[in-house]
Amino acid sequence: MSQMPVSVRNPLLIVLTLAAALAVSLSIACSGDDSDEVLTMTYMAGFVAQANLPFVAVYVAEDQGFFADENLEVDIQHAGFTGAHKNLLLAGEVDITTLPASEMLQIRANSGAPYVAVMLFGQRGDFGYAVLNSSGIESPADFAGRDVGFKGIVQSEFHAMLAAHGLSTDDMNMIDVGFNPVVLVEQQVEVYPVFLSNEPDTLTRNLNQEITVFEAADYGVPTLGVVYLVSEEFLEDETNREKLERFLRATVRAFEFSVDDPAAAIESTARFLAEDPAPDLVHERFILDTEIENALNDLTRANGVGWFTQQQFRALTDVLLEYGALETDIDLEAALDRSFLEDVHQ
Amino acid sequence: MVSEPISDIDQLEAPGSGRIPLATPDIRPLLAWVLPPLIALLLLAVAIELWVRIGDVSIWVMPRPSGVLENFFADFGGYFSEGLKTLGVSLGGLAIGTAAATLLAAGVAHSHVLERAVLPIAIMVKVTPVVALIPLFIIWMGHGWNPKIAIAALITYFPVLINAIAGFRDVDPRMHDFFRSVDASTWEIFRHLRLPAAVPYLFASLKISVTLSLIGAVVAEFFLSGQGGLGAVIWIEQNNLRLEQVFAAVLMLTLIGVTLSTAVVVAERLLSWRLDQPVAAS
Repeated sequence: MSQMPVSVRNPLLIVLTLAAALAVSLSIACSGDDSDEVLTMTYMAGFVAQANLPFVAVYVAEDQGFFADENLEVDIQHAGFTGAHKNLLLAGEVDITTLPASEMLQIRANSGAPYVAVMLFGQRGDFGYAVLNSSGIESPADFAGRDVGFKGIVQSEFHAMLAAHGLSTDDMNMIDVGFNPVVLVEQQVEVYPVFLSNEPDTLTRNLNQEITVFEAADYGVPTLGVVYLVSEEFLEDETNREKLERFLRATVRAFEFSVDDPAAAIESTARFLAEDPAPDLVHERFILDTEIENALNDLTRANGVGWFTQQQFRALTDVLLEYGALETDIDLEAALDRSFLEDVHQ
Repeated sequence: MVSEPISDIDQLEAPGSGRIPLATPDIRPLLAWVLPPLIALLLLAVAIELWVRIGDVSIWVMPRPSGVLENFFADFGGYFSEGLKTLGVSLGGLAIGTAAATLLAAGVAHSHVLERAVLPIAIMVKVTPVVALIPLFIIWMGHGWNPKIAIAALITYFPVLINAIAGFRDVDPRMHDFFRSVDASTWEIFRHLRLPAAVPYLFASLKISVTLSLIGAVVAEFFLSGQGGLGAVIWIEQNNLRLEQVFAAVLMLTLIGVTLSTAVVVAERLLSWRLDQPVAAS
C-alpha cells in the first residue's frame, strides 16, 4: 500500500507549512532587493542647458536609459543665470548640482555652506586668458604694461600665473570688462579672460579672430573644473546615499559613453536644449570636446572618470588662500567624499 | 468788468495751469515722511523674523532680519561707502535722463510731427531690456562710470518723457488763445504757461524715476562689479552665498531710495509753494 499524502495524514501540518511558505515569500517580496525600488531625485544644472560635460552626463544618462537601468527617476532642472542652485541645494529643494571646484571651496570656507563634492569633471580649470595673435603677446610675461580684462573678480589662478612669471596685477592695467568678448576684438583690452569651453569658439568661429589662450595650469598653477556636489545633510540619509550611488553610476556610464561617442552625446543633449533660437550644435560640440579633453588625464585613466584626490583640492585651496579668495582654511575631509565614486568604479 | 491792461508779459499768471494749491509753505517735517516707511519696514522685518524662526526656514533661502541688521550696523561704513557710489551713478543717470526727456518733451509738445517721429523710437528703446544693452554700452563708452550712468539714464527717461509731454500740453486753451492774442512768443508761452503746467507732471514722473535710476545703477553694477557699488556687493555676496550681506546691501539701497523719494517730495513742495506766491512777490 502506498503511503498516504502528508496532507491527508496531517492537515494541520500542511496548513502550517503553507502558511510559513507564504509568509517567507511575502517577506522576501516586501523587503526585496533595494535596487528594485524606484528612487527619485532632483538634479539642477548650474547654468542654462548646454553641452557642458557635467550637464551632458545627465542628459545622456536620461536619454540613453542609464538612469532607468538604475531604477532612478531624475527631475532635471536648470538654474539658468540665477545661481539659485547654490541655495536650493542647501535648502534641500535640489539633491545634486554643479559648481566650479574653486567656487565650491570659496563658498564653503567663506560662508560655511556644508557642500560636499562627490565627483570631479574638469581635471583643470575652466578659465583661460585670450589674446589676439596680432597683439605680439607670446606668454603671460608679456602682459606687463598691457590692458588686461577681468570679469568682476580677478581670479586667484590669474594672480598665481602672473606670480609664476614674476609679475603681479600692479604691473598691468586691470579693467573690469563684463561678459562680452567683443572688447578683445575692439582692442579695448589686450587680454580677455575666457571660459575655455565656450568663448574661444565664439572668438575664432563667430568673430573670425586668430587668438592664443593661456591657461594657468600650463604654468604649474593647480586649477580644477566643475564638480557634482551634494549637501552634508543629504548624505545623512541612507536612502539619499543609495540615490547618489545610482546617480553616479549612471552618469559615470554616460560620461564614458560621451567620451566614446561624442556625436551621439550631442544628439542626446540636443533634446534638452532650448529650441528657440535653434541651438548651434557645432558650438555645443566644441564645448563638449573641450570639456572631455580637460576631464581626462593620467589620474582618470588609472582610476576612472570623475576621479579626484584630496591632494588636488589641497593644492587649489592653498592657491585660493594665498590670494585671499578664501577667508579661512577648509576641512577637506568634510568637503570631499569619494566613497561613492570608489563604489561605482569597483 | 474791464481788465487792467497787461504791460508786462512776465506778470502773467496762468490759472488752472496745474499748480498745487498750497497757500502756505507747508513743508512737513522730514520725519513725517521717513517714519512711516521705516515703521512699515520694521513690521515687515518682524514678520519675516517670525516666519523664518517658527517656520524653520533655511538660512540659505532667507536670512533672519536680526542677522541682517547686525551685519548692516557692524559694517555700516562699508555699505555707506558703496551706497555713495551707487548714488552717484543713480543721480548722474537721473539728471541726464530727466534733462534729455524734458527737452525732448518740450519739442514734442509743440510738434505732432516730431511726436510721431520720436515716440516710436523712445518706446523701442524703452522696451529693449537694459541687460541686453549693457555689454554694448561697455563697448561704446568704455569700462568706467559712463555705461552705468547711461543705463540709469535710459531706465529713467521714459516716465519723464511721457509725463512731461502730457504736462506741457495740459494748458487751458482759453489761456493759450489769450497769450496768442497778446502776441506772446512761443518762448513766453512756454515759460509762463506750459512749464508751470508741467511741473506737477514732472514731479509725478520724478517720484517714479528716482527709484528707477537706483535700479538702473544696481543692474549696471552687476555687470561692472569690479568698480564697486551696492550692485557689485549684492552680486559678489550672492555668489558667496552670504545672504545677510546681500540683504544688508539691499537695506542700504532702500534707505537711499527712501531718502531720494523724500527729497523729491520736499523739492516739489518747496517749488509749489514758490509758484503759489503772488507774482508781485517773486
